[in-house]
Order: sequence, then C-alpha cells, then structure tokens
Amino acid sequence: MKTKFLYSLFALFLINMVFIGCKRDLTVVPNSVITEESVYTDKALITSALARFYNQVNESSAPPQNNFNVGSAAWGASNATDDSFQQDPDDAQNNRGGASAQQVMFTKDRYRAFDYGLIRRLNIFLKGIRTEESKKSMTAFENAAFEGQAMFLRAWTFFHMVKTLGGLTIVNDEVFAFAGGTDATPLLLKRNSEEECYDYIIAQCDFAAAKLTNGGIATIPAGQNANAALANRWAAKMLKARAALTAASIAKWNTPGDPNLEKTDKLGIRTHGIPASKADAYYKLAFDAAKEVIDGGAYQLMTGATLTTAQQAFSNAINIKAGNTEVIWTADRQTPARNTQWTRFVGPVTHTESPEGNQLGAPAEFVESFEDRVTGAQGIKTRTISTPNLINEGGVGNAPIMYDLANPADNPFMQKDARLWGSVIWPQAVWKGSPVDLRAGEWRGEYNADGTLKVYTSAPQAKGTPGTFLTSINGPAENTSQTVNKTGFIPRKWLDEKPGASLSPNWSDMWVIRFRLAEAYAICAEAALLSTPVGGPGVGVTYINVLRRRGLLPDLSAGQFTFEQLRRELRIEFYMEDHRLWDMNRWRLADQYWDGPTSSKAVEYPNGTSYPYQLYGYTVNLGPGNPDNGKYVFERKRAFRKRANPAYFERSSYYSSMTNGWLSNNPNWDRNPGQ
Amino acid sequence: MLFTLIFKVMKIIMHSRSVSDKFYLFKRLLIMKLTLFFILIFNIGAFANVFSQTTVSLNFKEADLEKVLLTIETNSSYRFVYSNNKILTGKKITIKADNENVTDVLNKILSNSGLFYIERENHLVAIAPVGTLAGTAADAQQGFKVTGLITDEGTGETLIGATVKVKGTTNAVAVDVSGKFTIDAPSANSILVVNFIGYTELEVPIGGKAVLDIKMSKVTRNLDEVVVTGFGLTTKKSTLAGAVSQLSGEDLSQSRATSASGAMVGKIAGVNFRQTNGQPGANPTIRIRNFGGQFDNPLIIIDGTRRDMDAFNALDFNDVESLNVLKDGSAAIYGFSGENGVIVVVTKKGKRGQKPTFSFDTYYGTQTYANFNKPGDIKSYVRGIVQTETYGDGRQSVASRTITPEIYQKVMNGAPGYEGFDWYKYIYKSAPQYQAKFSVSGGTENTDYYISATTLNQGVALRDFGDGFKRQNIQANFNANISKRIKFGMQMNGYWSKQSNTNVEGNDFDWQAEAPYRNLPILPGSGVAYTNPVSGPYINGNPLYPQGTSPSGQGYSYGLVSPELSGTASTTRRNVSITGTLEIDILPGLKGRMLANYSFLSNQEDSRRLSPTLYQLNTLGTIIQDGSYVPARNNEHIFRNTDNSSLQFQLEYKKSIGQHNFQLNVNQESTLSYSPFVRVTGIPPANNIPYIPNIGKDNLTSFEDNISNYTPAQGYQVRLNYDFAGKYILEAFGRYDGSSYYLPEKRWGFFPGGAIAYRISQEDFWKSSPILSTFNDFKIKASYGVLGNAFGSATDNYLTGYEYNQGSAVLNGTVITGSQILPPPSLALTWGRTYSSDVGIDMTLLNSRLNIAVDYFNRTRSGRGGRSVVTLPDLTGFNAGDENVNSDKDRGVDGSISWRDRVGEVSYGINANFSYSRSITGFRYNQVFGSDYGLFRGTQIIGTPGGTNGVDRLNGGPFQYVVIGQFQNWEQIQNYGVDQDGKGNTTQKPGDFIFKDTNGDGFITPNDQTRETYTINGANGSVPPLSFGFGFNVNYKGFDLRTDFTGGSLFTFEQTSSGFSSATGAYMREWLPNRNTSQYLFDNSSYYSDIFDRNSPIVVGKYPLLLQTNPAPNTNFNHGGWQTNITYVRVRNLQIGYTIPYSILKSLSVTNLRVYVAAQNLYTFSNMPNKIDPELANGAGGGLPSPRVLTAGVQVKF
Repeated sequence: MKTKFLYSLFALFLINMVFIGCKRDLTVVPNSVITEESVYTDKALITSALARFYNQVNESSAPPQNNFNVGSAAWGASNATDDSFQQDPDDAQNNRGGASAQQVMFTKDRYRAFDYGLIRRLNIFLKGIRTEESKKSMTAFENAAFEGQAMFLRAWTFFHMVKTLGGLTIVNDEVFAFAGGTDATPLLLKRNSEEECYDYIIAQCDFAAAKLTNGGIATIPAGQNANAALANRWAAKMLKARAALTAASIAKWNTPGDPNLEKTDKLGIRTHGIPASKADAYYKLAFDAAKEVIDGGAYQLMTGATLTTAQQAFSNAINIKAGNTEVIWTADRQTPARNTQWTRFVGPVTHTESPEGNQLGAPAEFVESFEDRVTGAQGIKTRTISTPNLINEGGVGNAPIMYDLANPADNPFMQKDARLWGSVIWPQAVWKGSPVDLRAGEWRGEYNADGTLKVYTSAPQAKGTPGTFLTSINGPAENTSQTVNKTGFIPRKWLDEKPGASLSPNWSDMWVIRFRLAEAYAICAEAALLSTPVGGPGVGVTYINVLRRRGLLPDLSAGQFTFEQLRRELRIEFYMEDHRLWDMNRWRLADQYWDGPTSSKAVEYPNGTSYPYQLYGYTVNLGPGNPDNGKYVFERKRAFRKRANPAYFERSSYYSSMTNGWLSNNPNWDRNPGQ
Repeated sequence: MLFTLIFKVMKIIMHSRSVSDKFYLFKRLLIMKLTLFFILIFNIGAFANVFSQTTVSLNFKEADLEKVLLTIETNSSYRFVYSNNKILTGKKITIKADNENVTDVLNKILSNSGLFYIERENHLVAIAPVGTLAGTAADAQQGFKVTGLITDEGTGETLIGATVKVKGTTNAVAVDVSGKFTIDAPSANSILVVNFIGYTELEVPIGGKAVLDIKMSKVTRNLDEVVVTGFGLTTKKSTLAGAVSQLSGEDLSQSRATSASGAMVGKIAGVNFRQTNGQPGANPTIRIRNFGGQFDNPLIIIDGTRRDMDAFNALDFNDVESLNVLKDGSAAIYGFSGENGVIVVVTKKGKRGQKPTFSFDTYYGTQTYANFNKPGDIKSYVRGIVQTETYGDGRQSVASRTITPEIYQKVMNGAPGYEGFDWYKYIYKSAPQYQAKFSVSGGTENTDYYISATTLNQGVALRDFGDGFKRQNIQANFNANISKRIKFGMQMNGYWSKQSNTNVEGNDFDWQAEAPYRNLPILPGSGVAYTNPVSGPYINGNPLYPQGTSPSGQGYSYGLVSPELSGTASTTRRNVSITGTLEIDILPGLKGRMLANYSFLSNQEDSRRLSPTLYQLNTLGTIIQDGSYVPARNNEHIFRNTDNSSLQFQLEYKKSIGQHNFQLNVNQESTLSYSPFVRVTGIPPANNIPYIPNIGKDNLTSFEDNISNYTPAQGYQVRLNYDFAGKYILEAFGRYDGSSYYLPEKRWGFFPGGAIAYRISQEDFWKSSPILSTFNDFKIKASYGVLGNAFGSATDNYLTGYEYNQGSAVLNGTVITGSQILPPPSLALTWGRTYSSDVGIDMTLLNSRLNIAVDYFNRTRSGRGGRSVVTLPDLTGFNAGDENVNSDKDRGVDGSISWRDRVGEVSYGINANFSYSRSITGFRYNQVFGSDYGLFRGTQIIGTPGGTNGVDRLNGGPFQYVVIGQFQNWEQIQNYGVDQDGKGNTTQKPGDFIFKDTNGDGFITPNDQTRETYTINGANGSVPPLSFGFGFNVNYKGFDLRTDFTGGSLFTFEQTSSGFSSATGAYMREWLPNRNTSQYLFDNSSYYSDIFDRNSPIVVGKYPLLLQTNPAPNTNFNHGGWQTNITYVRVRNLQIGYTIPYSILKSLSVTNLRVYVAAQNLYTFSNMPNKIDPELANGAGGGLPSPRVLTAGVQVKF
C-alpha cells in the first residue's frame, strides 16, 4: 500500500512535468545588447556610439575623400590619379582577352558614397542626446560636444554623397519608421536641388561649430583631442569652407547645358548644376570660413628656415603625430587595434621588414613639377645639350649628365622645393636612416643606334636573394612584379619609419589627415584668385606665398599667380592626400587631363597629360679607376605598361550613377546626368 | 581486500606526483586505468547479490504458445528448448500474470496442453509431450561428452543464452555465462542443434571432436530487430512506418577511419558524404539525403541526449551498438534542429547474466597520401621556363635568357649539379596510425555493464610536421534493476584529443600542400641566373642552416619547417558526458522515464609561432643570416568551455486489446547550454619564452573575454503508435517547440506528422500464395511530417537597443570600442515550415536472405525568410524586415539491397546502397527578370549570391562557356569566323580553347554561356548528389574477407584559376612566377616544337601553351575546358582476417583470437584529372587527400 502510494506520487510528478511543466521564458538577450535608453545617459556608452560613427566614416567601404584605407586592396583615390600608380595587377587583363583595366580606371561609381543608414543612426543618436534625461546626466558642455560631433559627421557624410551623386533628399533630423502594410508612399520623398544640398551642409557646419563652441569656449579643448581625432569647431569650419568651395567651383566651371553636368529632374528639381551667378557668394563663404580658421590661431604651419629643417618640417607635418601643430582633423590609428599596412606595401623592400613593398610609384612628371629654389626651373636635366622643348630624351651624341647623388650640391633633387623631400623618396634619398637604393641598372658609356643609352640590367631579385645585381631589388624595372618599383620614385608621405611598421600583427599606426591648416591657406588663395569680389589674385597670392615659403621658394607676384600656377601649387602641397582627383573634378578638368590614349594636349607638361612618366637612374661604370664611376645618369620615358593604357576620365564620370535599386525603390528619384 | 587495493592505488598516485612532466601522459593513462578498475570493482561487487529475474508479468488472450514463451524469454532469464517445434503449434493460451514466478506461470500455461516441462540448471527449461521426458533423460546417460564455445561469426561475441540440443532428443543445455557449454551426446556422431534468437538455427555434426567451435550467423534482416525512432522510443523493424536506416556497430567496426562519420561513409542508404581534407583528425562531411548547407550538420543524439557532430566524431565507433538515421518527417520529434535528419547513436551495453568478458583489440599501420597532385620535376620545370622566355611578351622572345641552350642540355642530360631536388619525395613520407582498445562487459541477472578505453594515434605523413592527431576515449555504461519496478542506468563517455602540427604560415595543412610547389627544384645562383643550381632545404645539408628555397614567399622554405624552428599549433579537447536514466513501471502498461545529461567540453587552442632565421651564403662562401624573411613571433591561446545539460520526462503507455496494439508516449525536454571563452594573443619577448608574460600590456596584442549566456530550449513531444496484428500500422507524432529566435508571441509552434504502413505479407491470401510467399515480408509505407525552421536570430527578429563591440575608433589617443543601434527587427518573421514526405517499399524474400528497401522523398521548405510586400526608399536608411515568403525543395531516392546466405561452411553477404538527392530553388518573392535569358539564368534572384540558380530549376553548376575544341594551328585561327577575344582573335594561339557561339552572333559574349556541369568543387560545402556504397563479405572456416566500396557522382571538378590573386597557386591550371606547377600540367600542355624558337609550330596538347606568367593567358574564362564531371568508386575498406579455432585457444583460456590485415582508401577508380583524390574540393590542386591506410591487427577476447 505504501509503495503504491509512492508510485502514485511519482506518477503525479511525472505527469505534472510532462504536461504542465512550466514553459520557460526562452528570451536570451546577448551580453552585447544594451537598451537604447541606457546609452544616452552614460558618457562612456555615448562615446562608444560616437566611436562607431567615427569608425564608419574612417573605414567606409566606399571611401570618401581623404580616406584611403590601405591594408586591404583599397588604395584610395591617390592611386587613381597622377599622384602615383600601382603596378596594376588588373593590367594583365589584356592577357586574358578582357577589357583593359586602365581604360575603366575612373569608372563612374568608383568613389560613390551613399549611406542613408549612417545618417539614420546619427539621427537616432541626435534624438537621444537631445533628450532632457541625457542633458541632465552631464554638463551642458559635454552634451553640446557630443551633439556637435554627430552633426558634423552627418554633414561630412552627406557632403560626400552630394559631391559624388549631386542633389539628394535632405532628410534632416527625421528618423523614418515603417509600421508595416503595403503603402510606403509617404516615404517617397523627392530629391533636393544641388544648391539646396550645399546650403544645408554649410548651415549644418555652422550649427555644429556653434555646438562645438559653447559661450565662446571650445567644447573639446585641445588637451582632450590627441592627434586631432575628434572633430572640433575648426574641423566644422574647414568642412564648411571645403563644401562652399566645391559649390562655388560647380557654379563657376560647369559648362551650362552640358548634359553630363547639369540636370533638372522629372519633378523639375535642379538636381545637378548651380547657377553661375552664385559662384561669388560661395567663394566668399569659403574664403571667410578658411580665414576664420587661420585667424583663429589654433594651428601653425610647420616650417624650417634651412633646407634640412624645411625638408624635415614638411615631412613631419604629414608623417609625425607628436608635436604636430598643423593638423585639424584626422582619422587616427593605434596599433594593434586600428592599424594600416601602408608601409608594408609602399615602403622600399630593402628597408621594410616585409617583402611586399614598392607597390606604388611616384611618376616622374610629378617630381619634375617642383621648382628649382634658385632658377625656378622645373624638370630634371638628363643630357648635356638640352633640347628646346624637351628636357629629356636627348638625341645621338648628347652625353648624359652624371650626377653625384651623394653630394647635395650635385644632387638635382636637393636643388628643388624643400617639399620634394617630404613627398617622394628619390634614388639614394635617406629613409629610416639609410639611403634607399633605386637603381635601374648600369651605364657603361655606350649608346644604342637610336641615341638612347645602352644600359645593362639584371632581373630584379626577390628580397633576400644573395649576391649583388645590376638592378636594385627595389627596382625600378620594367617587369610584371608588383613588388618592384616602376617609375623611379617612391611616395614618402604616410610611410612610417618606426620599427615593426611593416610587420604583422601591429603594422603601422600612421594616421590619415582630413584637414590641415595648409588647406585653409589654399582655399583662401583659390577663392580670392577666382572671385574678384573676394579680392582677386592680389589677395590670393599672399596666401599661396605662405605655402611656397615652407619650400624655401621665392614669393610670387600677383601677376605670376595664375589659375595654372594655383593648380601646380595645390598638386605639390597636397600630393598623396587625396585632393588631386577631387580638385580636378570640381574644376571640371579631369576629362581634359586624363583623356585616355587620344591625348595630344600639352596643358600642364609638354608630353601629354594622361601618360605617367618614369625617370630611371643608372649607375655609371666607365671602367676601373674612372672618377665618374658610381655617379648616376637618368633616362626618361613613358611609364611601363601605361604607354598602352593611359589614364582615362570620361566626361560622364563627374557624377556617379544611381543604382536601379534606388530608383525602383523610390520612383520620385531620377537618373543622374550622363547615366 | 578492497581497502588494501585502494591504499595501494593511492600510494601509486601520490608517488606519481614526483614523476616529471615528461611522463604526464603516462600518468594520465595510469589514472584513467585505475579509475576504470574502480568502476569495475564497484559495479561487480555492488550488484552481485541482487535477486534474479525470475518473475514475469504477462497478459495474453488466445495467443500462440510460441509467442508466449518468447515473451517470457525476453523478459526473464529463462530459456526454453523443445524436442520438436511442432509440439507448440496450434496451442492457444490465455494467461494473466503480475510478477509471478516463471515456474508458476509455466504450470498454468502447460496444464491441459499435453505438454510437460523440466527445469535444468541455468534456468533452462525443456518442454516435451507428457511422457517423453523420462526417456530422453535416459539417453543422456550414455555416450559422449562435448564442450564448446558459441560465438557470433561476425563479431566474435559469445552468445550467452543460446541453447544446444542433441538432435532428435530433448537433451539440451544452455550456454553458460562465459559462452560455453558442455553436453552429453548419445554418440560421437550425433548432431547438435544450436539456437539463438536473431540467429539462423545451426546443425553441427559432432564428428568425433570433444571441443567444438560453433559460429552462428545473424538472420539477414531480423524483423524483430529494434530500431530507435527517437527519445528512447523503439519500434520493431517489421512495424516501422517512417524512413529510418540502421547500421550495426559490427558494420562500423570494420572501418579503419578515425571518426564515426568516416566509418559510416557508404554504408547507409540516404547518406551523402564527401571528405575534402585528409589531415590527421579530419572528418568527412555527412549529409542525410543531402539536406542542409555548409554548416547544417544533422542532429546527433547519443544515448538519448542531444550532442553535436564533434561529439559524434570523437566517439570511438567501436563502442557503438547501433546507428539509427532518421531521414523523413519522423525526425520532427526532435524539433527544428532535426530538420536535416537525425543520427541516433546507441552505445554498447553489457549482457545480463554474462560473466565478465574482456576484449583487447589493436592495430598498427601506416598512412600515405596516395593521390596527391605531384609537382613538376626539374626537366619539365626548366623546359617550361625556356618556353616562357621564348614566348616573351607575345611579340618577341626575351632578349637575355636565364636558361641558355647549354644549361638546358645539361638539365636534360642530368649532368652533375643539374639533377634538381625532388621536394615531393622529401616532404611526403609515410606515418603511423594505430589504435588499442580494451573493454570489459558482462552482467549479473539484474545488472549489466560495459566499459571500454581506447587510444588512437594518427601521425602526419609530412616531414617534420608535428605530432598529428591523438585521442583517448572512455565509455562506461551501467544498468541495473534496483527493484521490481525500477530500472536505473548510467552512461558515461569521455575523451581527450589533441591535434598538433608545426606552426607555419596560416597554421595549417593547406600550407603544407602548397610547399612542394613553392620550393623550387632548381634555384638561380648568385649573379647570372641558373649557372649554379644548387637546392635543398639546408645550406650544405646542415640542418642548423635552413635556406630560402621558396622565392614566392620565403616563409614556405621547407628548411624552416619543424616544431623546434617554427613552433607548434594545437587543439586540445577534453570532454565528459554523463547520462543518468530512471525507468519506473507505474501501473501495468504505464511507464515513466527520466533522463538527465550533463556534458562538459573544454576546447583549448594553442598556437606558438617562433621567428626562425633563414641563412644564405655570401660571395665569400660564408654562411650569413638572410634578413629578407623576418616572420613575426606570436602566441595565441583560446579556451572555450561548453557546458550542456538536458532533462527529459517521459510517460509511456502500452496496451494491447486483442490484435490492436497501442503505444502512446508523451515527453518534455529542456536543455540549457553555456559556452564562455577567452582568447588571448601576444608576442613573447624571445623565441625561448613559451608563454605571454604577465607584465601589463607590453606583450599582449589582444584579449577577448567572451562570457556567454545560458541559452535554454524547450519542447514537448507526443507520439502514438498503433498497429493491427502487425499488419496495418499507423503512427502519429508531433512536437510543440519554442525558439528564442522569435518574438515571444510568435515563438511556439506545433509541428505534427504521421506515417502509415501496410504489411501485405501478413494477409492470409499472401501467405497462402506459393509465389507471393517467397516474399517473407512486404511492406509499403508512407510518411508526412512538418518540421519547424528557425531563421535569423533574436537580435534580427525582435531585440532592440545598441549592440556593443561594433568596430572601434581611436579618439583622443584611446581605442574606443563602438556601439551601433540595431536595425529595425523583422517582427513579422516566425517559424518556417519544412514539409517532408516519404514513400517506400521494404521487402524481404527468399527465406529472408534478400532484403530490398527503396524510398522516394520530397522535402519542401516553405516560409523561408525574404523581403516582400513593400520596398522602402533608400533615404529611410533601413529595410523592411524579412517575412516568411520564399521556398526551397529537395527530392530524391534512396535505397538498399542486401543478400546473405550460407552454403555449407561458406557464409557470405553482398550489399549495396545509394542516396540520390537534388536541391531545387523554389519560389522567390518579387523576382524581376530583364529578359527570358535572365529568367533562364536566374540572374536577378535577390539574396542569391552569384545568381546561378533559376527558380524551379535543379541547383548545380554555374553558367559558363562551352568548349568545342582547341585551335590546332595559326591558319585555323585566322580563318575562324567567331571573334573570341573581342580583338579579332589576335590574342589567340594554337592550343587555346574554342568556345561555342551558342547564340550564333559571331562573338563570344556572356550570352553564350550555358550550364553543362554540376556543383563545382564542393561549393558551399556541398556533397555529391549521388553517393553510393557496396561491398561483400565471406567467412569460411575461420577466414573472413570483407570489402567495402564507396563512390559518388554528379559533381564537377574544376581546375581553378588563381584569378587576380596570387595567394593560392592554381597548380592544375596555371604556372605562377617563382613557383612550380603540377607535373600533370607540364605533361598535358601545348609546347613549341622547337623550344627555343617562337616561330616553330605549336604541338597542341590537352591544354594551352604552358607559360610561367601571372595570370596565365586564356585561363580565366569560366568554361568547360578545365572541368570534368566526376564519377568515382573507391576501395574504402578491405579486410582479411583469420580466427584461431577455439580448440587451440581453449588451453589459453582465450575465447576468441582473430588476426587481420586491413586497408582503407586502397585504390580509387575515377575520371579525375591526374587521378587526384576525387573528394577534394581544392580546384587549385594543392589539397591534402584522404590518406591510404594499411594496417595489421589482432582482436582477443577472454
């Protein structure tokens, strides 16, 4: 009886477990998920949310300007222009019977920026940060600084979208919601005109700057902004200046009626093109904003009085974080979490720890565009008798000039603008404490039948191959290897001299500069030069001369300060800083300079503008005991492989295209011009 | 006595503390063995005196006497022998007994039946017509005493409970607990009749021998065999209505694979498989009916508990009693994780009433990578370089050659110094594989136990590449009746395994498979190339000075490879899983069960990478450091603990009313899992510091602290089985399941299913028909089930808020980890449903010798996630959530056939099975196709990467160009009417492929592409749609031979191109600079007839002109010229054994001794290019194939 009772109890227990057994709450919230409300009242979490915005702006897969994210394959726009070029692996497409990669180098959509998702998340953040709960949990200063940064990042993102796509829909602070159902019509907003978009961006920059200045005091003090990674009020002003200059350029340089540049969409909105009459007003906005940054005095250009200090100062302004007085806003990096492999891929393999370097070459014509400090001459002379229009490629019997590169007085590169040193590594220039060997081969005093130098080369060896070779392991050489220099020069900007900078897993912590003070001078110079109401060349030249002085160059007079001169000054100052493509773009000159294989124009330099050139140095060997042995001779020609595939920018590439998906998702959006 | 023993053991353990770490493993083994020993002692001692199973409960109405007796045999320790089977026929019995003594029950049954019984020793009962027993007893007095041993022919297991009878008498004995018997026969020429349930009755002539060695063979397909259908639920095969395949442990144990999935390959109908990797410890991919994508393994149940594929593979498959594969809707009982089929593993148990049986089983063997794609030799390599230089840039040859005709001749003649270095021979060697297993099993009348320990070792067949794979298993099962109504059981299994290799770039074996191509057979010397072609891993052959031999990446230089120079990478796992079960008879027919499981897995990954130095000779001939290669030193450790527990409560009710049999089960299951991990990486200050020093952040490069959540899951199951006289069979089942992926109100779903079967062979007309009755059994069956389908995740589907750890940025000099707001959730999404149907026929014919089973199946997965209804404009910055709108399908056929017979002393069996299953892209919401061709190609499919699958079309190979030949000469190219390269064929050469101009427009464009292949190179982890296996076995006088073949078809191998990346070599298709390529490519490419003359005619080979360039010309299009549709058959297992007769072993007190030799992956018949391993998915040709294993072994039982 007792056991029966026990069994019945057990049966009850089991029946209970099986049938009634409480349903558990299966909800599992991952440890990483934080409720939204708790974010906006906790400064650490707000910073974390903000860090994600910076992270996405810094490492977006479609990089806007100044955002080359090396480490993956993205070389950024610097590589696509005449700043530098890679021994492009795509080049071999020819072998495969496919289209030439070089012909499509400036495809419309290569730099397209489009991220309304980021804008939405910024708007959610702004809504949260503007709540009373959030404001109560911190000082007004702190709250304003968070808000101002988010507004700045939203303006920055939208600026790059508008720059590549033209007028888009301004969503302002709206956070859209969709409750379900089948009707999304209320969300199908129209595009705004390009002009409205720039006005909005400029206004947002002012709002952000105001938030970042609270009662006349900067909400992010310099001491709390190491390496200028946070956007402060000066960054907002710089963005305002850059956006206004872009709008002014569109108004000034667009060819009215050009179907590739101007468009009024099906709803009658002028999505592309700004009336020429607006140019002066925008130039004025740009000039004033940039001047405000200069006059603010928060930043100073880094200069040097002697050749060596001037050379070093310019290099330090880019490549050294400590004590940098010039940068305003950067994408900072810190190893190992946020690093770059730029040095690994670009540095000379003889000097880096890895075997993959030398992948970018600086073209010869860039080096040649620097002025001689004394004579003002451009170019590097290669032969004793110069031909009138061609400095190089002398005829039969013209002996090559033998340079002793070890002697600064005889070194042609040392005679140039001091900024050349900080821009490129030339043969025997010092990097990481020792000269870099860039040597294409040996010249033994012989000539070919056509008058060119007869030279001896050896196949460039893999790094570490024992023995000595006629050609340096760094190159330059005309071969298909990606790790051998092709042009004779290596870009020095962004190269990190710290030990281990080319080694896994830490790599380099080199930053990317978005804004530095020099750009404020450049904007003032350009705005004044191109707009009489702003001041004309007479005002402009005073700003450009500030930049020239850091290269130890003589000042220009107002008469010498032409648009062409401005372009060359900008190219030199902002080399490899991802300005070139966008400058050429807003001047609407890109299609004339990089005009593909048909080019015969001699606009900026005499040999056509769409072909990069190489300048190879050879050591001299004239038999035992000859005092000239070991000196260098140079030979110049169109760059290997690029002879067949010059840079090509089609006129329809000024604006990126709208994808079919965007258009079908919103019938109120129209195609872009040239699409 | 026990105390003395414990004391001694304690002493040993304490002593062992002083043993140095070198003996760590030994210590572990020792402790393991001791533990085992304790368990043994405990088990045997504790339950030796529990009362015997001498009572029985019965309830029969008008049942056959034979059936009643069988029931008593099954439920008690009694055995019956009859003088003549006919005495039982026609007697109908009605009896009801509740825990009554068997003898009392027998008295009731046999009263008035004209039968009488007599009980002998060991609960053996002889039954005979009244009045005959006395006479037979007299027979026994005279004559001849015979002893013997009865074993299973296949496994060598002793058959306790078998009965031996002298023919024509009732003189009978039962086999004792050690499997032996002694019987008195009338004469030396009498015949013994041996019987055992599940085995063919055997007549053995004594033939004057005093000791007999009797081997019985199993009935081919025993309809009474029990199939596990889920949650401890079992069904007899005869009344099974669902699609469940079964494989016995005996069939598994023939394999020399190192994992259970390796052992089951090719042996079960409805299982598709592919082993793409042959490294030690690697396993094949197993897909039931080809269901599931790359990471969707079938659900694994071991002894009633949910485990995963890793646990299954780490199990010693020799401990498996049976594998049951649930293929159709019947898997629904396991809820959504059973969607891709379920493998239910039952481990071995001891036998009641058997004395302890010890068995020892070991083998030793060697493994080699037999089907590797070999690199080219020096002659081919140099010839290729000459050709490349002759070709030059396509317009003129290279001006200054690195290989002059003089050097070329020297290499061709094998002149001294020009022999080259054979890296393949140097790197690839053979490695040992061995295993030893010890087990003990047995039981008393109320307990049974099975305990085993195994150690397995699989070396690396690559030079200096580390220790390979080691595993030690322990399995202990124990069951007891602790009272009349309560049964208790415990299953424990655990393992320790370690996979370890030399730490090279990428830490893996793929690197190793690249090394023979990366290390060149000839190296350029100093100064001008190729005048001093010395090579080999070390300078002057001195292992202290490894030299750079791999210009494409010096890290590949083989001299660096050794654990001492480069460090090691290892994965260590420690696992234990303990299951306890309790079964209680509550009321007659009503049982309650509980099952509790806890399992713990510690997974530890350690990587220690050193920075070795390469050396070189300077111009003076002095050895100096080569600074060109400076690998970074680093350490990484990952510790992950996985903790799973589960609890099940079950009620079962069984009832028979006349011929109506019912069984109802309800079950509640809940599980809880927790899996935290910690990962740390750092750079030790020197090569000789093996760990990351704890000095702040200086040596630390990253640290990951991943605490986990306790993740619960819960479900309820119900199952009803009904049959009428075993003829009409009906099953219904369902599961009410919850998933944490969905919003609480959309979380629970009910998924029902059912099956029907009709055993026509049980009908009277069938039994009476002379033709139809050759079919002993004939069953048609059909099943249909609905399974749930869980999509997305909680964060995708309903959680809101910010998610931490989304990228990071350096702000104010500090790295700040980011947080991002979650996108709006897919609130509308809920369970998808998988409709699985199956129709099949099972038949047994020709005296149960031939078995055939065929199933057709069709599975539709509906309600799969996709965007629907409304697309939001992009300016909103978010997408409308997923809804249940899309569908996919799978369908196919699987089947098996087997034959088993015995002719005289030869018993043999033949079997074959296959699984054919294709997947189909089903409905896709909101498809937009630009053209009919777009519809045909399916290029607009949203969310289908690559867009190779059209709607409602079989999934398979991509669209590509069709190759219709090769250009033979320049004239043919000039006159060819179709523009192949968009440049008037100016880039084409003799030897290049000619593409079919499918649309006839005179140009080769993407519109000419079509489909002619199946899935390529195991894309997305796919396995061949057709997998099959067949084999045979023969036993004769102690000799046994067994062969298994496995194979597959309907998949495609493509010799891939490296494309724009030179990271991986494409050794079946291209030849990259500074590397070697395959001998196959060297041998089958086109060449200039005069290798130094670019104007000489091209001799066209199977492939275009071989050039060392990156990328190679004419190799990048997707076309058939580099593809082969593969069919292969592999000799998977071959085993020849001999069992020493018992008559010889008797004096050694060994009951069974078998020696054998076995081979695995002995040979492969296939149409693969270069005969490389067809299961490889590596189209570059560098994959490590499954090794060929040759072993010899011995099995002992005593």
